[in-house]
Amino acid sequence: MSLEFNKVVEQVQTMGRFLAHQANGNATKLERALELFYAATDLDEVHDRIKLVRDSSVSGYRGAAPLPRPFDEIVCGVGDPPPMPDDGTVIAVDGSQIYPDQHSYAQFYLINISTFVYYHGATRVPFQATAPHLYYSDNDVLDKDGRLITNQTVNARRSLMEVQRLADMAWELRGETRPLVAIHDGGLLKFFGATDVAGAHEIERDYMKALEKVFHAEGLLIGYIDVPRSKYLVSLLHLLSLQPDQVNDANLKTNGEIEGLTDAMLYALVLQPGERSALMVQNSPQNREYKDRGAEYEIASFYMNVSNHTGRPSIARIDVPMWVAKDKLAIAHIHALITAQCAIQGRRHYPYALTRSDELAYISGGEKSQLDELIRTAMRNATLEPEISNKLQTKGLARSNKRQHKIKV
Amino acid sequence: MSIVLENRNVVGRVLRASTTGFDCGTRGSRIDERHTFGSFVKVALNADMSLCAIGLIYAIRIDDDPLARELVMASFVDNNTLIDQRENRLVPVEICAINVGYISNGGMFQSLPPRPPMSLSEVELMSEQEVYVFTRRFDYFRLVLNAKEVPSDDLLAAALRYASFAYPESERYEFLVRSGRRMAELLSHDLKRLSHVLALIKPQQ
Repeated sequence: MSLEFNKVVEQVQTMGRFLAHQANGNATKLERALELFYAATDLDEVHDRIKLVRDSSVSGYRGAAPLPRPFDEIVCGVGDPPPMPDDGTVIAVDGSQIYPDQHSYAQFYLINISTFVYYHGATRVPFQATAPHLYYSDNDVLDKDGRLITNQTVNARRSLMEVQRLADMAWELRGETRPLVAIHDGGLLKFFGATDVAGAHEIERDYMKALEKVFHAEGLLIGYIDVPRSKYLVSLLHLLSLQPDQVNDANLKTNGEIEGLTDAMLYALVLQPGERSALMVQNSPQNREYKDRGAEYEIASFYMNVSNHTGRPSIARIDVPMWVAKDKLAIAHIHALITAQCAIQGRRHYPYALTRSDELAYISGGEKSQLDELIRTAMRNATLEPEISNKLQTKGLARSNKRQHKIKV
Repeated sequence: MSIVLENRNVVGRVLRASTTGFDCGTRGSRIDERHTFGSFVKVALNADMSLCAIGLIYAIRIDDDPLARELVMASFVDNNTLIDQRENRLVPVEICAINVGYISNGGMFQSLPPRPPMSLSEVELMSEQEVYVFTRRFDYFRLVLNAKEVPSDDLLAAALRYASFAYPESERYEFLVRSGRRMAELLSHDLKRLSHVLALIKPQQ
């Protein structure tokens, strides 16, 4: 039985009304959040409040905090678009995968990592490359209990490979024109959950090693998050709105009167095209762990309106490690190069290098079928009989295109 | 392989073909004066090239994709983006040709070839000498004028202008006049069409 749209239509209409109601409610909250935002001009006061949550028994604060002095920036401060550097190299890496399937004829998974390098300022053909990696041994596809690894594990391994490739490229191109910006598609503060991800500890260790390699190559590593849903700033504004005696875990569980807002909603009203927000760090145990491994590896972030015209704002979050965040010139270069990258695709405000690396990494349905055929042929050559499970076979039969019965004339 | 392609004036490789014509493809970065509307091309029908189909290029298509459409909307297209699109993204170019003759064991015939070329066969520009020899007769006019879904009048005029440069300057005027006379015979029933084609090939005095 396929989806019965007559039964869904009413639910869709209700959903539309719910979203409209939510948006109306947000308008009032945004007014209040803006008041709090523009009142946050005193950095000493903000530092004191952060000290209060860090030094007390309060453990539930996950909002933003200013950078350590003297690198801190006023919370409501806005950075104008800086001038473009004469030259610059932008490396983007992306990955895609074919997940393992326990009903398949063989247990394997594939990760395809792409690299794209764009040279600003000089007329050069951009560099592009892809590297597919096929995994099929028990060590690769089974966890320590002998079960097939989860999709989350494959995602975590893919993320690690992306950052490792970025690190290798940053190292390889360390002689290239500077600034050398290495873009990762996604946040830099990774959480490899030990319950869902096989070998999470090793992945985390190797991830930190990759960050170190970019650091030694003096690369400007960034994590680019399109349509961010983070609430770091909103949580900070809520914290600042509380009286000192009200700062406790119960009051920090939600963002109070501005609950439901995201940072992007607020910055969409604040940032003009090309402008950036203040640099801040997220106050979380995870970021603390990064910092404990080395002060340079704590992750900071700022928001940018990457739109280049005064239409609908496009807010993106840029994550940077602390060694980049502390360097004002590096931040200006990143700001300028991301603005330039996001202007390339006309109405779509997204880094061109990321679009291209995604295009290179993408594995289409047709390519997956071809790979399946190649593997089946290799198995037959090795006198094995590739056979998929009855479950998958019958699914294939029932889901295939239906043919109408016709009377022959 | 690419060096061989450059030296032999290869226009592209056959994508699809029939006895009436063939389409070939190439990369956007390779498009140049070899890909000219009305030029004469040939493609081998057998391994030793003793049998070749002769075609006339009647259409050149450059395909787009959603990314290319977005880039067009940008107020400024960066030079490296342009190079990336043309060199790396393999902008596909399709060149369509209609068959107007064939070469068999050194002889040229102005009628449809015995069979179509196979996929991926190399399509080459004909040499000046080959164009000169082939266009001394005008029997292929009928094939062009009767072709469907082809801008036949403009194609024939473009082919004649193209072919005229294969003639020594002293013979060029005479060639165009003879071509015009033959066309007048074929299009005597359609004077509007005839005057249009004659205007297109009128020699510059």
